[in-house]
Amino acid sequence: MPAPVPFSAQNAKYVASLYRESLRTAKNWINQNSFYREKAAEIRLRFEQNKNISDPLELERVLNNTKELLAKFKHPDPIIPPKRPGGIMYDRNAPPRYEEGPKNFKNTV
Amino acid sequence: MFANIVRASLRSSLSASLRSTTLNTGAFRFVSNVSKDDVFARSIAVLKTFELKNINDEITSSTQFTKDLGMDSLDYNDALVALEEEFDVVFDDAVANEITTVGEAVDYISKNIMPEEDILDKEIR
Repeated sequence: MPAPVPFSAQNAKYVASLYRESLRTAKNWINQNSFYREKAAEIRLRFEQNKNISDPLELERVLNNTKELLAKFKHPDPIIPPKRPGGIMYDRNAPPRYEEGPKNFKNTV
Repeated sequence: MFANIVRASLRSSLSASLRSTTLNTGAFRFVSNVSKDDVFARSIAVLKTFELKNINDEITSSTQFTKDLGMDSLDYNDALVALEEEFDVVFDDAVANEITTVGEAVDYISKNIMPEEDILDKEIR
């Protein structure tokens, strides 16, 4: 990847995608919503701290650091909705449900 | 030879009509049954949980995240991830960076949503 240009639209998009990815990663690890919001606030703070970097080399270092952190904290078994690629129901056909269930056993003898 | 052509054309028209009927009856489950209004109402409920600039203003499909709701880029991405969780949809990077209004987000969601299928018994799942 070429050196990032500070404050460019392309860089903003890249940072946004990193931010989204880190939120998803946090969500994968944290079950309870209040804890997740705390973590999200921390992630947001970390991104805001590096908001005004105008030195390209510094920016590249920070972005690479973020990518390393994302790779380090990547969840081994992330939450994937069942029907999405990688989900448990992906590419599988569920058997149809019967309109009525099986008849109850009735002793006729 | 002429009969062959007639047969072939008949077959093609038949199969075309068959295809359209199966699509209309919803025999294929790829078509989402969730209405756009439904998606819209749910996304508004999600957006209301954020700190918005004008809480009392009505959110319409042409409402812009940055201008009308007063979100900065991080807020906006936070909202997108919240919408992803609500609808089990994934916003691709290319799409997420282009979305500016609530209506566009709703369009993308209603196009990509995979509703929980009614053929699955929830108790069994």
